[in-house]
Amino acid sequence: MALKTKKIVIPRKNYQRQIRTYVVVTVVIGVAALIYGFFQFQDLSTARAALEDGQTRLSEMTSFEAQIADQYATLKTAFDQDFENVRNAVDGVLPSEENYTALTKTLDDFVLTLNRQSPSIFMSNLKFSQPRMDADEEYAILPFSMTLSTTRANLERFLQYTENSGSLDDASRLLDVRSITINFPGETGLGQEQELLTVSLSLNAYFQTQQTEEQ
Amino acid sequence: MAESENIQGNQQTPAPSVEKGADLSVKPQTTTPPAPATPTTPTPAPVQPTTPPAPAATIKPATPPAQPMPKPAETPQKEGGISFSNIFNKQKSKRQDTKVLTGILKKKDTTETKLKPILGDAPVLQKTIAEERTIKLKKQLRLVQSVFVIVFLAAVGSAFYFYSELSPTFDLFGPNTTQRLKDVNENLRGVQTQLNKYRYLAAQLDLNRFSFISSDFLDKTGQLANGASGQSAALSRSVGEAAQSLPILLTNVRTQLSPNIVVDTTRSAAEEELTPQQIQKQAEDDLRNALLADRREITKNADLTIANEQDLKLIDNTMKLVGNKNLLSTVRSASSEQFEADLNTYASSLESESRKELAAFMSSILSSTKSDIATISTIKANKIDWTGIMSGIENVTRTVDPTFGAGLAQSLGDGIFYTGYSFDTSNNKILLSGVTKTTTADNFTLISDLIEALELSSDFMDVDMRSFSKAGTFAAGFTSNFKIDLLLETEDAKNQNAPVALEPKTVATATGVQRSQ
Repeated sequence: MALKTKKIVIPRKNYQRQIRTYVVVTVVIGVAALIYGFFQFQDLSTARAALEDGQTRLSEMTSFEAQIADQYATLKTAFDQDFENVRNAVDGVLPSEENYTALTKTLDDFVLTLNRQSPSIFMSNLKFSQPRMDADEEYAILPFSMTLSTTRANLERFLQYTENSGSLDDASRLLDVRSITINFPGETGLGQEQELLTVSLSLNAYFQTQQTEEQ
Repeated sequence: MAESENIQGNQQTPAPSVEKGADLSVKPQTTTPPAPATPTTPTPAPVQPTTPPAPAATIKPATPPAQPMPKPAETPQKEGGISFSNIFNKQKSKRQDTKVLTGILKKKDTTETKLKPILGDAPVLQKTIAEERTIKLKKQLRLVQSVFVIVFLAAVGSAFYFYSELSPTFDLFGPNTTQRLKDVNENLRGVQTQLNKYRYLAAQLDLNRFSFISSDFLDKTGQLANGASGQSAALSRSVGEAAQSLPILLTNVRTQLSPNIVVDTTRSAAEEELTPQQIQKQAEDDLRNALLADRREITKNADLTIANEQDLKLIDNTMKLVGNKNLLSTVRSASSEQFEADLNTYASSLESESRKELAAFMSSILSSTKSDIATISTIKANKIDWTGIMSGIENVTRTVDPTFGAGLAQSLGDGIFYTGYSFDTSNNKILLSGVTKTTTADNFTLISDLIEALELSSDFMDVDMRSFSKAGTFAAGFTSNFKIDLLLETEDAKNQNAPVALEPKTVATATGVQRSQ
């Protein structure tokens, strides 16, 4: 009786192939890691250099911020002291509201004072229109018209008053004559000083618009 | 080999002495023990005889028998051919020989197993080389595997390290380099925003000073130009101080507003990539937000003081400076030295042209700030000098009628007088109404002279009157009414070559004056 033989197949290991495979994979991984690492190192070096530079600059700028804050505080204190009266004058020149009653009183007072000093001037009519915004909406306009019976000299004084209005020295309300119509009675002409002229004036007064946070 | 040596040794051994009648045949019992093996060649240990040789009945050795020695192997012919006298002993000896041979063979087998065969080793050597090669390859494989593992671990480790340092989101070990860089950049922008805020607020303060002083300068120079009496010394002193301060303020404003409001940073991977325009806008927005934060801080109080309201105005005006390219352009291009020279020139000459140029320059700076003071200055700059216009009309009229304003037109019946003026600022239009009286009936000529004189004046343009009429007699005099339309001549119109109403060149013809074509 023949013995049964069992064939055992021993897998033959190809060590050289494995070595080659390992070498190739190792080289590929190594090269890829080197390339990746090179660029990442560049990025990291740049980031670290920027971080270091930024921290240095931040320290310098922080100290400079303290200096410039002190300088600004000093500048503002000096400004407030120097221009306190002027700042208040701005509110008289360009008030925050139309405030036409105060303007009426001012005009009435000026004409009466002028009439007392140098007769004669008489304001026979004063009419305020509705305020409107200017084209750029930077300020508001209060149009009004008036009629004067006045001598040539007092007319010139009134016109000079409107031309000098808005001065921060006297905080007078800012006015601007937009149109004038002068009628000369009889045939005396403009040069007659004592004749009463009938003058129709159209003027503008101005006031500030309210600034909101959204604007 | 060893066996042959043993044989030779037997031959050299001296023969033992033999008695009379004794068998002379060579007997194995008389053989001398083999010589000891030479030390150079390993020899097996001498085999001891299993049984001592039996003494023969007839033969007695003269000498006591030698010690039993191992019997060397002999050929059977030699053994058989020598003696038949002792067959039993021979049989016995044969058995003994068999045992000896067996021992020798065993000895030989033992020797053979210990010695390497000469030809049989070749396959063993190839196998050994293959195994050695396999072992070598295994070693190399293990080395390569080790290198692979090291490289792989190094690659993974370095990748993890770079990821942990550069990832915008990885913070397992705390903020990494990228996140810290982002934080530093944000802090830099924050500090830069605060610096910008203080700079712009300081610039607005300087602009406010500039507004006040420039307004004061124009007011006082205007008063000086109008011949203000009694205060000329004080006015001149104020004007001189203003002329010194304004260029310095202009320089300060330029210094505050010129620096770039954007801080240069190296963008981290955690930050969005922006264009320079977007970065500029971001800086402007940051600045506005910083100012708004200050504004909210002030308006938190229910009751605002006057100081609070002024601070609010300052902040509001400052916000208008942010991103104001017109102002930046004007301020950067302005020359403080030239400005100072212009101020001094005007302060000394008080010429209206210089005043207009200065007012326009100041307005270009202040109007772009859009502050309340700038608004005042702008409105004031646009005012019309009505008294000056009226004086200008009178002066022009006097060039045509020297007696104008003397009140002689009525009494002498010769001259010009006005019945009405109408000025409209909205379109710069002026309407002059009046009457001419002559005794020579040349009223039309007088009116035409007035039109030409007005046109030639630098204050007026587009003088127009197309219809003429007159009435009267030589006895009572002639009267002609006129209504002349004209425009105020503006700066823009002056820069252009404005056409005149009448061409200056005329050709005399038989029918009168004909306008040239």
